[in-house]
Amino acid sequence: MGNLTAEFFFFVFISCCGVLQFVASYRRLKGISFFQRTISGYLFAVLAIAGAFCWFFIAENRHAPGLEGAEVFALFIAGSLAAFIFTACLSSVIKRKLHLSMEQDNPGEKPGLDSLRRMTYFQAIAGYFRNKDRG
Amino acid sequence: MIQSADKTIFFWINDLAGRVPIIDRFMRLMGTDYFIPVCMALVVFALWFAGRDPERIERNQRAVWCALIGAGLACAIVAICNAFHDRPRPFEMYPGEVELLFYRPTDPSFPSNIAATTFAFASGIWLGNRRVGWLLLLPAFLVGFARVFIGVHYPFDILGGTLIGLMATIGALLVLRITEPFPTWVLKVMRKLYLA
Repeated sequence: MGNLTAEFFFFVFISCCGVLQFVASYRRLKGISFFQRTISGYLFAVLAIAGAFCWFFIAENRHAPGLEGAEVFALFIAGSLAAFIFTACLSSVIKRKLHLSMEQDNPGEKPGLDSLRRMTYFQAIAGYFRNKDRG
Repeated sequence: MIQSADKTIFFWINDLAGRVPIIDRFMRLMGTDYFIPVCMALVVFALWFAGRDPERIERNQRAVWCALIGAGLACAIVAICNAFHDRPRPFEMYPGEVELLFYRPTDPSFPSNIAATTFAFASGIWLGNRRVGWLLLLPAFLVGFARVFIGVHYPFDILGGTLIGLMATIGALLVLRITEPFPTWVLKVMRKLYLA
């Protein structure tokens, strides 16, 4: 059971990383994309999602008693959160040179996902707290 | 009368199993506890970030809330039903007659947990985004059919699960309305943290 729990978590984690790269490419959110070109993001998404599904469902027989519905739900939430944190961290490191602060670029803009078109997640969070300190 | 109709429809569908190996494999995959629920959850996860304009994005995110709360409520209602009513699985009622393509689940047959959850997901999303909602209703129907095909549920278990899923969505909608402005406040905080 422990093995299945870990495998399911990893399956969800990889799939969600793929979904996030797809979203980053689709919405041009450069700040959370691992790649410079959008096509690379789409390619990564397809490979990650297809690879995770093939690995999880073909490598092992999944027609056996396993996780309960609530466990599946909790593991999905945990896996998707982990994928978001991983994506935010890795893209912030890869794209650390991408920086146009909110004030320079669009002074009236409210914080939100769209801000990640021009800055990384870490830069966005740092900028938010800097602005808060300034009042 | 209802049980007899349930049995008849069950055997119409289950008799199709064990004839074409590739269809059996496909139905087994669709009926598994993970495949369709994870596919649907991934679509819902993507929908959280999707939308052409801020208004559409917010509507999608509220639909995701509705789907998540609905799925949670559906699971709770199924658990309550299971505590009061233990309907044996078809392979337990008719040993040797059912073409079983799956492992033997030990929980009660009625209502179907997977049907309740997938329909709660699909209908919750449908309320906020018709196109994606219709798209998700398709796998929700497929998983229900597959569970009968592989011999682990009666059609009325699926129907019961479907009704519970739809009721749970209405419940989720009420929860979101009653707790307003809390959901709006959570969305605002998430937006400030660049999570929405």
